Amino acid sequence: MNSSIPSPAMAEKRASSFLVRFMARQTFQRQLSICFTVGVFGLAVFTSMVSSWQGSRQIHDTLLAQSMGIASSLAQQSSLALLSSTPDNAREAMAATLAFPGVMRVELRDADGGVLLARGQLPGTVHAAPSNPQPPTQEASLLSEDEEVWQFMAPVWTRPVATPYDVIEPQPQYLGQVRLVQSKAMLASMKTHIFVVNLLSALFFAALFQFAIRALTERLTRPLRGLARAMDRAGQGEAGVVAAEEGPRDLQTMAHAFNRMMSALSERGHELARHREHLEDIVSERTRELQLARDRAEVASQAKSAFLARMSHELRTPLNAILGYAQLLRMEKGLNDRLKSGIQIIHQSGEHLLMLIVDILDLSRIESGKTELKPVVVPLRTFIGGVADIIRVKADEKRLDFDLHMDPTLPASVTVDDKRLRQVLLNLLSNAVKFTAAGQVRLSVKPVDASDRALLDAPGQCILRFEVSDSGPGISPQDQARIFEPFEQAGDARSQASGTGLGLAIARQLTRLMGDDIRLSSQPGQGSLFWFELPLSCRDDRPAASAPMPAPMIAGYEGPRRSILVVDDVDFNRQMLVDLLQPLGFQTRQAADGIEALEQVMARLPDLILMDKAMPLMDGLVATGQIRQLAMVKDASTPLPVVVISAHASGTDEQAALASGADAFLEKPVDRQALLDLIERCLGLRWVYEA
Amino acid sequence: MKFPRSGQPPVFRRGLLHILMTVIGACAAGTSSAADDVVHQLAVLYPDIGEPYRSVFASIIEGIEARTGGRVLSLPLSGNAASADLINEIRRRDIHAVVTLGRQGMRMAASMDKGATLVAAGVLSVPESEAQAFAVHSLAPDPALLFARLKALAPSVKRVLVVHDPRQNAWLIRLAREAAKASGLDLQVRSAEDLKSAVKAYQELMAGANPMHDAIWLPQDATTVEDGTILPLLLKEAWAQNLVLFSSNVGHVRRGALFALYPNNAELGRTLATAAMAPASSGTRGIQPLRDVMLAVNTRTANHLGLNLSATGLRFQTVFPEP
Repeated sequence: MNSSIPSPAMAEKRASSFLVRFMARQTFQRQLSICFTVGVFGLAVFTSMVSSWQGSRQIHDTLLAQSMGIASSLAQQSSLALLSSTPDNAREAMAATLAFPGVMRVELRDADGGVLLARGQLPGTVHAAPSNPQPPTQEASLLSEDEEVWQFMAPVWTRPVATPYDVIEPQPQYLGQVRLVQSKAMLASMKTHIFVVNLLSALFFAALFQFAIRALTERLTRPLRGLARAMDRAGQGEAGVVAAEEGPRDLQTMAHAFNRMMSALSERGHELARHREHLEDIVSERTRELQLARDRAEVASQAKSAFLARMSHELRTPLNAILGYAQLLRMEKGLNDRLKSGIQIIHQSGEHLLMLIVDILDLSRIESGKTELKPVVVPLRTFIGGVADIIRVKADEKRLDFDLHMDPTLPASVTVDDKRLRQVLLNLLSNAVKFTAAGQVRLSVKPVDASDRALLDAPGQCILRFEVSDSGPGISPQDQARIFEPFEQAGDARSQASGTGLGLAIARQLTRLMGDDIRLSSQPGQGSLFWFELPLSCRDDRPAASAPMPAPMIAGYEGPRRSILVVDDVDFNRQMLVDLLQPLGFQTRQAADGIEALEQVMARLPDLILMDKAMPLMDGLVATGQIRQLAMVKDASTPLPVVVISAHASGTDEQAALASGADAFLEKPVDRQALLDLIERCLGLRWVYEA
Repeated sequence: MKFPRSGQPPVFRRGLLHILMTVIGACAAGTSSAADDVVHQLAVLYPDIGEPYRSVFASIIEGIEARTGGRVLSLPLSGNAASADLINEIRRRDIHAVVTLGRQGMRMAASMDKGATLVAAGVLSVPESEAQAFAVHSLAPDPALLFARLKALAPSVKRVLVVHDPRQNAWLIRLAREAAKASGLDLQVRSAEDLKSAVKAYQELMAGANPMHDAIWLPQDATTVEDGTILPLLLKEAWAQNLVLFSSNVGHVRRGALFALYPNNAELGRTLATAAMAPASSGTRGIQPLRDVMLAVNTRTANHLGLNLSATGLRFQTVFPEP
C-alpha cells in the first residue's frame, strides 16, 4: 500500500480532530444549536426511514394478504366454471378481480394445469410461475416474487359439508386453480409516498423544534454570556467586576460563586498590596543595612589595604636607605672584618625585615584574591637544584643532612609560576631546617602515576609530587590544623622559633592557587612530612639553560657622561641613590618633589629621571605626566626615560606608573643590580667592569 | 345457520328439546349411578356433540323414551369413551336392545355383540355392505312418500330426474324406481362418482328437461348434491325453466326448492324403540328409508310455478319463507 494514502483510522482521527477544533471555536449557544440541529434533523430522517420502512412492511403484508384473499375469492367463484368447464361462468368474477388495483393478470387453470381462462397482461420482464404444484395446497399461497410482481395461486376445491349422519364422509375434490399476478408498483408508490410524507412532517416539526431550541438556548445562554463577559473583564485585570446573578439556578450559583471569588480576590489583592508595601519597607531597610555593612566592609577593606600599603611604604622607605647603604658599604674597600661583619648583619636584618613586610603583603593580596599566577617554562632539574642549593647552605649551618631526590622520570621542563613554587618550597624547607635540631631534611620530587585522573585528559599534562620531610620533633594532631593559620606556630612558646608565622599560611594559599593543597603527615617525635601534588604542563625538551654566571662588579660605563635627575622627598633615600650613581660616573641632580623636578627638567634636560612615586606638593606620577607634556621633552632628539620608584609594591602601582608616562617601575628598597640593569636598558649603556 | 340434512325443527321446539335432552341426560346419569337395580329395556348410544345435532338426537331419544316408558339407558359417545367399556356396561346390565345414533353409533354397532338387537339410525350415505348384520334406519325419506307428495303438489309431473352416487344411494334408487313405477312416474337416473361428472349429468338432464312434465329430485347424496355451487345453479335453472325441484333436505326448501320431507324425530324414536324391542327373530336387517316424515314447502316457489297449495289438502309442518 502506498504510504501517502491515509488509512481509514488516520482519516477518522483527523476528522475527529477537525471536529473537536471546529467545535472549540464555537460559542456555547452555537454548539448547543449545532448539536440540537444535527440531532433533530438526524432524528427526523431516521424516524422517517424507520416509519416508512415499518409502514412499507405493513403495506407489504396487507397487500399480500389482500391479494391472497382476492385470489381465494376468485377461486371460490370459479368452482362452477371449472366444474362445468365453462369459462363464461368465471368471466365476470375475473373481470371484477382485474378491477382491483394492482391486479395485472388472472388465470383460471383446470386440475391438469390447462388454462381455462386468462385475463390481463404479464409484464415482458416477468416470467410465468411454474405449473401446478403437486400436491395442490389447501389455501392460497405466494408462488413467486420478483422486483415487479407477486404471483399468487389459489386452489379451487369442492367444499362438501360433512355431518354426523354421513357414514361415508364426503371428500373435497381438487378442481383447478386461480393464478393472480399482482403488481408491486403500488407498494413502491406507497413506500415513496409514506417516506416523503413522514419526512416532510418530521422536518416541519424539526424546524419548529429548532426555533424553540434557539429561543430556549438564547434564554439559557444570555446569563451565561453575561457571566463569560464578566469573567473576561476580570481576566483582563479589571477590578470590582460583578456578574449579574440571573438565569437558571445553576448559572445563578455560578455567578454567585464568581462574585464571591472576585470579592475574595479583591480582598486578597488588598491584603497583598498591604504586604507588598510592608515588604518593600522591610526590603528597603534590609538593603540599607546591607549597603551599610557592605560600605563598612569596603571601607574596612580599603582601610586595610591602605594601611598595608602605607605600612609597606613607611617600612620600606627607611629600609631602602638601610639596605642601600649596606650594599654601598659592603663595596667599600679597606674595611676591617668587624666592620664587614657588622655591615653584613645590618644587611641581613634589613633583608629579614623586608621579607616580613613582603610576607604580610603577600598574604593580604592572596586573601583578597588579587594574586595572579604567572606561569613560565621552567627547566625543572635546574629549578629544583637552585632551591636545594639555598637550603643546603642553611642545613649545613645547622649540621643537618640535606637529601635531594629527583625521580629519573621527571620531565625536562614544566610550565609553572617558578617564583611562587620556589616560595612554597623554600618556606617548607626553611621550616624543616628551622625546627629540626639534628638529623635530616629531605626534598623529593617525582611524577605521580595519574593515568586515571580526569584532569589529565589533555596531552602533555602531568602531576608532580613534591615532598618535604624532616626528622624533627613532629607535630601533634591538635597542632596540625592550627599551624596553617596565620601567625601560628606549633609547640609551646619556649620551643617556637623565630618568624612571622605567616609562611605556612602563605604556602598553603599559594598551593591552593596552583591547584592542590599542602597535606601533612606527622607524629610527635617522629618527624614530619609535607607534600603536595601539582597538575602541570610538562615537556621533555630541555630549554637552553643558561649557566649561572657570577656577577662581576661594575666600575663605570662607556661613552659620554650621562646626567640623572633623582627625585625623592626623603633626603637619605635621595642621597643613597646619588651615592650609588656618582661612583659609576653619572652626573646627578636632585629634586625633593614633583614641582622641583619640573623646574629642574625645564632648566636642563637630564638623560634619565629616577622619580619617587609618593611625594608632597606634587607626586611622582603627576610630575611624570607633566614632564611628558613639556614641549622641550616632546621635541627632544632622544626620548627622556623616567623610572618610577615606589615603596607601594603592587601591580596596581606599576600599572599606574606606566600609564602616567613612565618607562619602567622599580620597587623600594632599591636593589642595586636591578637599578643598574634598568639604567643600562633605558640609556643603552655598556658597563665597564672591574678587572 | 346450519341445518341437518334430515330436517329442521322450529326454533321453539329446538329449545324445548334442548331442555329435555338435559333433563334426560341428568335422569339417565342419576338412574345409572343411584338405581343400579332398575331394569333397562333398551340402551341408546348417541354422539355427544353440539348443536344443532344434539337437539336432533335428543328428540329421537325422547321418542324412544316415550315408547319404552323411560327405561332407556342413554350412553353418550364421546371421543374419549372406550368402546369396550360401553359394551361391557351394556352387557353387565343385561340389555338386549340397543339403538345407535349417527355415524359414531353405527360404527359402535358394527363392533358389538350380535346377541342383542341392534338398530342403527340417524345416518346417511350408508354402504349396503355395512347394513348386513343389523337394521339401519336411514334419514333418507322413503321415495314413495316423496313421490306421493310430488303427485299431490304437482300432478302434471310425469318424469323425475335424479343424479346419484351409486356407492351411497343405490339402495335408495332401487326403492325410487319401484315407487316411481307404483306412482306412474318415469324415473330418469344418472350416476356420477364425482361432482364434475354430476354437473355434466345435471347439464344434460336440464338441457332435455320439459317444464310441463319433468321434476328434479335432489336426494341426500354427498357426491352429487353440493350446496355451494350445484344447488344455486339448479335452483336458478329450475326457476328459469319453471321446473319443479324437490329435495330430501329441508334447507333446500328455504333456498327455493318446492318441497322437502324431513324427519319427525320423536316419531322416529318411537319407531326405533319398537324395532329394537321386537324379537330378534322377527327383526329386519338392511337399510330402511325414513317414513316418519314431515313436510316443508316454499310458497314463493309454488306461486312461481302456479301451484295451488291449498287445493292439495296436504298439511305442511314447515312453510317458507317464514312469516
